[in-house]
Amino acid sequence: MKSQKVEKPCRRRNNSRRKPTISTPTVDRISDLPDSILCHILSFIPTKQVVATSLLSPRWKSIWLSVLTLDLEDKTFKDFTSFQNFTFIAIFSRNITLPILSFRFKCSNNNSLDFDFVDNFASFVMQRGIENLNISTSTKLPSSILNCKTLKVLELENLRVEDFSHQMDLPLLESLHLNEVDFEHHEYLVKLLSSCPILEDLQLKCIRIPDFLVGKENFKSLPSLKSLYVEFSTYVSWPNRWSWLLEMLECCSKLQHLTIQDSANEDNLYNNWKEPPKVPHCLSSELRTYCIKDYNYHFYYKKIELQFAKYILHNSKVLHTMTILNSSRIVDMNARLQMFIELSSSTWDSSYCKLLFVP
Amino acid sequence: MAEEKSQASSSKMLTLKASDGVLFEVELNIAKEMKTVQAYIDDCEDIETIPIPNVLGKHLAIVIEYIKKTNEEYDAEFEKQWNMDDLQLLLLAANYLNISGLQECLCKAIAKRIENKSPEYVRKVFNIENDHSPEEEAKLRKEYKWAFEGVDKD
Repeated sequence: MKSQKVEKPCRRRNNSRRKPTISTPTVDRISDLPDSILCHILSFIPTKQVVATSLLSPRWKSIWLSVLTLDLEDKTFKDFTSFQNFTFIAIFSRNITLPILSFRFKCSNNNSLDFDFVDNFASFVMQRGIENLNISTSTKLPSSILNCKTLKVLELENLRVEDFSHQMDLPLLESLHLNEVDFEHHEYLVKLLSSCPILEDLQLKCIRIPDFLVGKENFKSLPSLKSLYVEFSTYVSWPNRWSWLLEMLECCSKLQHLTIQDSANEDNLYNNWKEPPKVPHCLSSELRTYCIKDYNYHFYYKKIELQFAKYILHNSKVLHTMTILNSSRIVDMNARLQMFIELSSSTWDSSYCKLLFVP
Repeated sequence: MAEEKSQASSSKMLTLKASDGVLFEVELNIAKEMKTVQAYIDDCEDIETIPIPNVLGKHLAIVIEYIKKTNEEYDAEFEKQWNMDDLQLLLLAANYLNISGLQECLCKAIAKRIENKSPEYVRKVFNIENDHSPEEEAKLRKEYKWAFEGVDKD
């Protein structure tokens, strides 16, 4: 056997034989790193600061032009005009042959923002090989955003889907998160969901759909969907929302994870829980986890969520965790105990399920 | 020896030699996370000791431990232990060894330390010498003026 010194990996942080570690380097190592690594570091920083790195030294002057992500937020700018001018420069000065892999745009100024401005840069950005898009602003949704061959992750907030006769095609989309998005017609939502054949993760938080009619064969199949998060808004009245939810569940044949937050304050008297004629396939055979978020213990008449939870327990063969999640710190222990008693006393179909209260 | 060949490939050991001569014995499946090492193995199948000329023993140790332990929790705490000098050297190591997970973690860590800071602060942190001429600097400040308004006080 050869005899060589073999040292086990170990961390020597406060080794007395070394000089004490100081927080500032004595050598400029960073400028020796290849451009691609510098761009990788800058891809995690808001674009406003990325452009400012041009000032660091001549070596850094043009690095920002090759960073493949853009992150623009209006409130970090002096005023809206500055933001608009900067956005224009940030998007259009870059080398046009380079892709934009990730684009985040957040504008809370409702008055000054003009649809054409958003539409122009959206059309440009969507053709640059984008994979990850996050837009938060209250204008009409530009048509180019829902027609993109490269997009994998899409997050939209506050936008309005209206006058939408354009094509929707998102063949690579895996994750779709909509927050406070208005749909002029329910069929726009259906069309959107049908245009993402490989969609696995869907979040619909406080979306607004004015014209949903029960039983009208509203949804098309969502064959790849594994994870669904639905939040019903406190401020928008939607009496038949649970029927809507059930119709959607009928179409998600492979759903494994479901989270529901029902913040609506209205009395559920108009919205009696009616068991569907047949148990939706995903509930009986695919669902692994179910989570009720921010169940409002004080509206004790909000029993529909409790009844739905029991329905799931009664029918889900492979459910392994049911979670009652409370995002605030205040917990009414009595109400929680009541809920625990109610749920654990109903019949459970799955042999391995556990009931979890968080926190 | 004959016994080595009959073991499952995941328990086969490999030796990595750092630039300062320190040797590390690692399992094959750990070494394979370093794509540069993987390429080396693909080229010369019977190799037992692989030289890593660009990485000091101290940093190679940290890299190996990262590969063994990486998960969301570990990554979140990982970067807090190192000063800027070490972070950069680790990043160079991760880049050379082609370990994408570690490179991503380190780039994020460095980004976090300079986020929302002025160019003057960033220069100090990295020890960058400002060899822009005053005219050049003035020109850039004017051209991208919106980028310089409203920055956090350091």
